[in-house]
Formats: sequence, C-alpha cells, structure tokens
Amino acid sequence: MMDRYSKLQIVGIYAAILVFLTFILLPFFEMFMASLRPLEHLFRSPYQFWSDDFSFQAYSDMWVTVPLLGRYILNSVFIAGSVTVLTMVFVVPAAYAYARLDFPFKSASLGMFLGVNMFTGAVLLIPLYRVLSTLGLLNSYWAMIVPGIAFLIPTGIWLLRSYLEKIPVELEEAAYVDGASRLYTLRRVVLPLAVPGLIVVSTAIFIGAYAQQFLFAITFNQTREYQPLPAGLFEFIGYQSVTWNEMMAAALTGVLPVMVIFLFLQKYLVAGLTAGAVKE
Amino acid sequence: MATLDLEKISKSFGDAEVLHDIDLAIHDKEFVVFVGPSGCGKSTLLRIIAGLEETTEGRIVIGGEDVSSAPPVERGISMVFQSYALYPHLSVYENIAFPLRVQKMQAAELEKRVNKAAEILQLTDKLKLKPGQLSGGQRQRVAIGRSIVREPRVFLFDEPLSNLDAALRGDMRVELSQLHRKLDATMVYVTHDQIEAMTMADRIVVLNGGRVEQFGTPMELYHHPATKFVASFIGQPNMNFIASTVTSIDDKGVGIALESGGNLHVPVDSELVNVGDKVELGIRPEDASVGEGIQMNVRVLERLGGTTIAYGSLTDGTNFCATLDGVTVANEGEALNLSVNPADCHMFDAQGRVLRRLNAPTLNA
Amino acid sequence: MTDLASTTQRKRRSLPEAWFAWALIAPAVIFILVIVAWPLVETFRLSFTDARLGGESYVGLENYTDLAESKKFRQTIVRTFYWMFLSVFLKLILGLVGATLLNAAVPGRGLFRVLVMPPWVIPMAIGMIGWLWLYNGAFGVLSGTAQQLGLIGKAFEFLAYKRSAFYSAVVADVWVGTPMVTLFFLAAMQGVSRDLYEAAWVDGAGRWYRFRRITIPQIMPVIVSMALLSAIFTFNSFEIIWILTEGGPRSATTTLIIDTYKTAIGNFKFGEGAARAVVIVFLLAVFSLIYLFFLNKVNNHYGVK
Repeated sequence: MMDRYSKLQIVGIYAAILVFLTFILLPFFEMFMASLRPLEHLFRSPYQFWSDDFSFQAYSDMWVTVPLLGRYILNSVFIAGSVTVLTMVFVVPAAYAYARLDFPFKSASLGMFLGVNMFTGAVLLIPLYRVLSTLGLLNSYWAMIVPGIAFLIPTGIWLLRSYLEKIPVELEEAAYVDGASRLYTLRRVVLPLAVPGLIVVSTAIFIGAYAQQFLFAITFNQTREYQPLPAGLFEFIGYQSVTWNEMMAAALTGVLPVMVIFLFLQKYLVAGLTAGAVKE
Repeated sequence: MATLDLEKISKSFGDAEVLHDIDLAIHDKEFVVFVGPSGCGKSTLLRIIAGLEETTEGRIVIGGEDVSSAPPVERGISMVFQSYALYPHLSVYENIAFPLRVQKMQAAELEKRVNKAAEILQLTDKLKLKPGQLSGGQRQRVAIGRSIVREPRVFLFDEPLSNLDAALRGDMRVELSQLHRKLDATMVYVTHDQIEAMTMADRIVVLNGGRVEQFGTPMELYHHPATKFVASFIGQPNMNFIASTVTSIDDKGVGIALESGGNLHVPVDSELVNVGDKVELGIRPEDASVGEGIQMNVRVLERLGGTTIAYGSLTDGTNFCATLDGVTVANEGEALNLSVNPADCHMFDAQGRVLRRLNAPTLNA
Repeated sequence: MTDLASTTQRKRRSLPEAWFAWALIAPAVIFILVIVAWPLVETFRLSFTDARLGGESYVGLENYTDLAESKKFRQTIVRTFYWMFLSVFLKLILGLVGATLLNAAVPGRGLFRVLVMPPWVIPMAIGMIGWLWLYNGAFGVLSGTAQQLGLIGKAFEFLAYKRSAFYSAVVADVWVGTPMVTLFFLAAMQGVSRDLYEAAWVDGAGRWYRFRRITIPQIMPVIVSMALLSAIFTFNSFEIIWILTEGGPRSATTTLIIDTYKTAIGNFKFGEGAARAVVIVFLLAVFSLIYLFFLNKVNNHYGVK
C-alpha cells in the first residue's frame, strides 16, 4: 500500500533511472561503438552516430597490432590474483585478532592500518621506489604486487573483521570448553563459518588489485613483458598511428575477467561491502 | 562425578565488582540452580566455574582438586550455552562428536559414545542433519548431547531454556530432570526463571548484586526465606509487604501495628528487633483467604478458574495481592475482607533480614 | 599468599592471548611498516633535502619556503580543494538521488542495481579511456551529438580549454565515485526500519516528508562517513586526471597529487616532490581531524554511537 505509485510516478522513476544509468554506462557504450568503427570511419567528418560499416574486425586485429595484448591481460589477472592471495594471507589472521582477541595496542595498531587508507601510492612513490629498488624488486611482477598488497591490507582487515565479529563468540567458547586449542578452533570452527566472508573480501581485494595496477605499473616497472593491461593499453598510442578502435576493443576485452567475477558474486559482494553501513 | 566447592570467589571487571566473596559447597550428584535477576552475577559465576572467566580472588575446587587456574577441559566440566552454540557447518553427529575429536579419541569408541548420547536424547534419526534443519527443542538436545559425550564430572547450563517457547520449556524441564536422574551427575544450572529453579533444583542459590542471598532447598526458600529479597523473588505472585512497627515482644513472638491499620501478633523470633523498630510484615498471596481481618479494595480480578487472583490496595494505599478460591465472590472496585493466619506470616527487619518463623511447617527435605 | 598467587596466575594466562594476537597481526604490521610507514618517514626526511637522481644533501626548510612563496603552488592548493569539494558534493547528491531511485519498489530494480556498479568494478585507467574518447571533439559522441542537434557549430574539444578540461575531469571523477556512494546509501536506506515509515505513513506523512524526516536523519551517519571517505579518495585521485589531461592544459587540472607526481617522478626532483607529499599528508590529516570532530557532533545529534 505504502509503496504504491501512480502511473505518472512510475514513468517519472523509470525516466530518472534511465538518465542516471545513461550517465553511468555512457563511456562503456561509447567504447563499444568506437571499437566497432573501422579506423578510417573514426576520423570521418562530420560526425556519424550510426553507419553500416560497423564490424568486429578490431577484436581480431588488436592481437596483431599489440602482440603482447594477451600477455597483458594475463599479467593483469596474475598480478591481481597474486595480490589477492597474498593479501588474504596477511588479512585473515590479523582480522581474526581484531575481531576476537583483546591485547595491548589493539586500537592503536588498528588506527595505524586505517590511517594507511589516507595515503595513496602517489604520495609515497619516491621512497617506495627506493624501497623496492633496495629489495631488488623493480621491473618485476613484485614491483606491482608488493605495493598493491600494502594498500589493500587495511581495507581487507576492516571488511573481514566486521564479518568475523558476527560469528557468535559462544561457538568459540564452546570449543574452548571442549578443549580445542586456538588454532584448532580457528581452523575447524571459525574459518569454515567465515567462507562467505572470505569470498566477499577476496573478491573486493581482487577488484581493487585489478584497478590499482596502473600507477605502480607505469612507475615501478619498465619491463614490457610484465606490464598489466591498463598500462599496456597505451601501447596502441605509441605506434605509427593510434588504432583507437582496437584500443577500445582491447580495453573492453581486458575488463571481462573482472566483470565476470563481479557478475557472479555481485549479490554477496554488495551485501558484504555495505554490511558496516547498516545497523543491525 | 564430583563435588564442587567455591571458596571466597570475587570477580571485578575494572572497578566494578560483580561477585563478592561467594562461598558454596555443592554436593556430588546434586542439581543446583543459580537464580537471580539479570545482572546479579549468576552467569559470570557459571563462566568462572567453566573457566571462561578468571576469578579476581578465590578458589574453585572440583572433586577435591583445585582447578582455579586450569583450562576448562582439564576441569572435567562441560557446558550448555544459552544460544546452544552449535556449529552450523557440522552435522548433528559431528557436533556431538566435536569434544571427542579434539581429544583424538579412537573411531570405534567415539562412535559408541555419540550413538549412546544420541539414544539418550532421542536424536538417533537426526544425526545426519545440520543444526539449521532442527527445531528449537532438538537443537537444545544436541547441545546437551555434546556436553554428555565427554562424561564430565560437572555439567553447567547457562539459561538453556530461555530461547524456547513456553510449552516446549515445560517439556524440557521434565526432560532435564529425567536426564539428571539418568546421568546421576552434578549439575549447575543458571536461570532467571524462579519456576525452573523451584521445579528442577535440589538446592537453589539466590544471587543478588553479586552476593549469595540464600542457598537452600526450594521449600526452605519458600517457607524460610532468609531475606526480604529472597521472599519477594520466590513465589508467584510476589509476596506482599506491609510496613509495620513493633509494639510488643514476648517469648511467643512479636506484636506489631500495621501502617494500614490493625494489630497482629506473629510467632517469629524477636532477637533482631526492639519495641518501636520498623519492620515489614510479609504475606504470601496464597496465605490470604476470605475472612475478617484485613480490608482490601479490589482493582483487578484475574479469574483463572481454579483460583482467583485479586489485585488492589489496603486502606493506606499499600499494594496487596491475594490468591483466592476460584469461586470467591468479589467484584472489581469493591472492598474485600481477608484473613491471614499469623503463623503463615513472615517478618523482616529494616535491613531486610528475616525474623525466623517459630511455627513454620516442618519440611520433609 | 592467595593475592600474589592469583596475580601471577592471571598474568600467566592473559599473556598468551596478547602474544597470540600479536603473532597474528605481526605479518601485516611488518609489511605495512616496511612498505608504507617507512616510506612515509623517508618522505619526511627527503623533504629537507634536494634529492635528485644524482644525489642528495640537506637544504633545511628550503623546499617548504619555496612552496610557501610560490603563487602557483597556492593556486594548486586552492584548485585541489575546489576539485575535492565540488566532486564530493556532486557524488553525494548523485549518490543520494541514485540510491533513492534504486530503492523505489519498481520492477527491474535488481538489474538496475547491478548496472550501476561497472565504473567502480573496472580499473579506473580503463574507464578513463572511455571518457577520453567521449570528450574527443571530432569523434566523441558528446561533441558529435551536440553538433547534429545544432547546439554547437563545430567540434568542441572538451579537454583543450582550461575551464572545460577542469569540469570534464570533475565529471569523470564523479562518474568513478558515484557507484560506491550510491551503493552505501542504498544499503543504509534499506537498513532503516520499515516500521518507521509505516508509522509515519499511518500518521499521514507523504513521501517527501518521509524522505526528509526519516530517511535523511537515519542515514546521516553513513552520508557523513561516505563524505569523508570520498573526500580523501578524491583528494588523492591520480589516474583520472593523469590519463585525461596529465594536469593540463596549462595546469588547469593540476591538483596536489599531480603536481607531486610531476615534480618527483616526471622531473626527478625527489626532494621538492617529497615536500609536496608532506604538505598533502598534513592537509589530509588536518582535514580529517576537523571532519571527525564534526562527525562526532553529527552522530551525537542523530543518536548514533
């Protein structure tokens, strides 16, 4: 009853949603359109919105123009995947400690983690460059993985902590009364129950890792073979002419892995990420 | 099985002292219930016995052995939690087997124990299910099953029935009493529900503000409450209290003047009071009957069939409640004359301490 | 005796918990110390040097006095805050509108919710390639459609002029940030107890009244914390501007982050870059503290912990 709209209101709502989604999806639409246009069409004047020479040619040509394109996409997935796995290795124990245990310097150290969120890599690039150089990690996959982990650990701890806090503490107390050690409880009780949370957090980290590669890639890595897609895409510009249509095709193709993951998990992801925003 | 002794237990959280100097000696195979209002410290005391909380002071002795600093598993206790604390990802079988898996018990022995527990608790056909597929009462039984497989010396229950609906709670009370008889074990049971305490306990510990108000059998608590608090906590509806002044003292009891008017001579021990002291007269609603003596203005009548409960006030405004015969002739808004046998009355001094009753019924406990 | 004994017992038993906890957080702490905290300290140190590719020597406060005297740097600070406030304001408004729309009980809203997310899911660098094309005067749909509709006479290069480049970058930044804000507002709106709305509805409150008097106050804490998060995020935003304009034309889109990056990485003036980084950290910290102070007040006002 309360939620019933008049016909006019419904039309208004849909119209507003349409405008909103147009803004959100316009760049994707534009990229897709550009990827379909033959190169000579792109520069045709005056502007033509639609024409009959659209083709998917760019989607096959792009692999030739930038021979390493496949490698770049794989690099992106590989870097994001490594960052995700390693970040979780750091995040899971720490998140458990913050969710359950009481210890000196608890809030101070948690504050430090959250403070990291205030900085982006861009602020710290210079000394970070030196650190990576000292550790001998420049121009390798590690140059992009290591700083990637650092800037995702705080978010990961924050998200997973609020998930773990929702697991009833009685379960752990019951295990303790029954003589289970802390590690046994963590392994047999807490982690199995946290699986949905682990999926949400690692997906969020994967998306974050996929997104943040650009800055680290252009700053810390000069080796073409290791470059991730966002950086590799700019190779379409460097050749004798800019093959824009192929660049768009490559960009759209390159986001497929992360889009697929997102679509599979979007329901859990949205609920998990916003859990902190909703009062229980 | 074992005795459980608490010696001078105190517990503070920061500056707040939640338990003061608790001394209790619980016998072997006894069913003891800790009862009290919320915040009285009863759950904290149970968690201290379990080893989930540490004591600030004092010792816990189980079966003559000091376990104050032993981890739970070495104390020979098991505990049933209010929320049952079943592992949602494990089957009923694995839930019950969990403590034995921790011990790395041999498979054959483990299976025998789990099956035996399942049989006792009528869970045999539910072993493959997950806790989420069970009803509230069945989950409760799984939680108990998990606590009995380890064959502990002392069972601890933390408000285990509070998540069940009223009808189921009644059934589970009976089941738990039967289980106690079957296992012949020492059990400590925490509840805020005095009916659970009265019906199941061998002895009851009434806690208030972190202190033991009284430790005794249900009938002792009912007939000989040690304090005004216990008197008001045990019994349903609550005991009535009428402010009074001591007018005379003799070897048969104490004479008082009621503030609502009238005089009464009550057979209680006079050691604690002098003439002129303020006391409170305690009358259980069920000890009042229609007759001459006290006049009450009836506001509300609850007719339950077998009994009729009258709520109202005395002439000076003191609230009064009486449990009367089901066919009592009375009307809301009208006066009702009641009589009370002085021997049934209780009396408390200004500090809430009881004046021992001289003619109370003998107890066959 | 009991006193002493129980004290030592308690120590013996509570220490393992602390050690266990420290062992659990140690890897993450060490990692952050090496990769974030130490570089931060190092940035601070470098800001007092004239570090370049060749070498470094201490120059005291020179980098800072240079910045203080630079009119250009002051303009950059002002521009950065203008950039931040404008962008965050738009994100919050759009987020609120978007969340309200997506919260409307109309068929298809599940699909709409998914369709809002892509700008957040895909790498910013890739989204910006789309915007780069959109803003293109000759081939972009914006300029092209405007021409066909007769709104403008000839192709308009959005990124070629100072003002239009700045606002174009703001729009692109809003585009990136809006999905997350929308999502959080939507979640907060759905967390508001339905009873409140029904009670108000029974009392005859209309939709707008319910939105103003129930929704907004109830989600205010989320609005306020999202505002801070996106402020920090926008302040630090690098990729968007870098890919669209590299800070141009004629510094019109140069924010502090871009300026720092250009100085340090582009021109290899590490010392001067570090001083800029320190200014950024300082400004962000001050801004956050002031903000958190007000956040507390707002939360108290709305009865939230």
